[in-house]
Amino acid sequence: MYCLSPGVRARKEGFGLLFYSSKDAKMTFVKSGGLLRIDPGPRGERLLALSGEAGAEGKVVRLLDVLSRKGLIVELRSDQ
Amino acid sequence: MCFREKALLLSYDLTNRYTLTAPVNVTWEITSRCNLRCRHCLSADLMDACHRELDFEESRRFIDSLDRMEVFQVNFGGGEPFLREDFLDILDYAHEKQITTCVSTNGTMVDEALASRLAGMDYMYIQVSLDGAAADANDAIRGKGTFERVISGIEALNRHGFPNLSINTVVMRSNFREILRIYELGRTYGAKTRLSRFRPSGNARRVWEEYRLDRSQLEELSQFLSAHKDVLTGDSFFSITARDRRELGLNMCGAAKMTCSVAPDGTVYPCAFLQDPRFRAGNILDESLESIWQSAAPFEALRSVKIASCEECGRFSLCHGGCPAVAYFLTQSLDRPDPECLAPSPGGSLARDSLGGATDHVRTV
Repeated sequence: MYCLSPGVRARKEGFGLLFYSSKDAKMTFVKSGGLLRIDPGPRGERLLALSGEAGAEGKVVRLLDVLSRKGLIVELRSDQ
Repeated sequence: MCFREKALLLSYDLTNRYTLTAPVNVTWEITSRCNLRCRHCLSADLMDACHRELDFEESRRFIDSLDRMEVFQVNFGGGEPFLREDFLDILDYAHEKQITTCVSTNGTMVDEALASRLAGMDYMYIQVSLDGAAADANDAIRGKGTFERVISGIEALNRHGFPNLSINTVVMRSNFREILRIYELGRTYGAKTRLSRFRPSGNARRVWEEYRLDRSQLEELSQFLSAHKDVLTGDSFFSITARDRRELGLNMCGAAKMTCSVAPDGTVYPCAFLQDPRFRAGNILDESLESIWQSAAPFEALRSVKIASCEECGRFSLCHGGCPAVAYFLTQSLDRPDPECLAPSPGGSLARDSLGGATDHVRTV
């Protein structure tokens, strides 16, 4: 499970998700279509939800990898 | 960026194809009051015409609406924002909603107490205006004694460890030779340099011929920016951006696509430089910003501007025709090329040298 990194916000747009980092005031446009969405978590955190669309697993993995490397999302440990 | 990554991320050019659900950032001129009378002030006409400003409750409601729309950032300007007695409360409320803020200030009101308060705020940026590296050049534009007061404000912010400070300079003929020294002065305070374009709106329309850069100065400025990649330009200089700065800033006008501007009385415009009756898109006291953003005629007009004479130019991917505000105020037309374009002709030599690729990032401060 992933959530937005501290200081990062994201919203749904027609092409997918638009990320914004408060740390450097940069935007990232992500062509994720309907594969990813942002859901509220139980403690106010913003969780990244996966659509589970059949056949798109590879693209979702690549998206998560890119977003993680850019510091926009972090993986939650199982005890979090 | 590798090919695989590029396939997943998009360039902000796509805002030509998609209308975003909301602005990414909103410029909010929160007051028309100012304690300076700068010769180039873009808001000078506004100060004469706009006597009402949103009160605190109206401001809170507006921030609530920005939060609902998921606007990420508000750039506060004016007038001088710190003249508002409730401005720190407005900043606090925006931060409560996790909206990043950037304040453009003339810096003259920043004392120890204010600097201390600002240093305690997260995700906040401050741009202090300075138009010369010494008193003579700066004060000729901004008024006698302002240089010393601005430096005093910057030093107070420094002493309290304010982290996200930049010095903003409007580049004009009178201070063109000062840019490097302003840059070096900023470094001594740990402040970034942000160069803004001198554009013919407000007072600047009246002193345009006196202060505008000529072509050779624009070319020199382009080279300076290439040599100093850490200098910020906001959305000012895409008309002269060389290929090697392509990934550092916008390559197109963001007005009505990524941003819009709200005047002190709540009137909405596509951009702070397009505050002209023709571009009045509505007022947030009468209708929601969301509705204005989605359907106001001036916004639709800007989104559909096509500068046909630029589309064959080699620089098109770098500027998309440049700044519509400059074109409008100098030619009375939105669909004319930016009059300060550096390409000698469509596809000219400078244009061919400046071809660039796409980028996925752009700073909003």
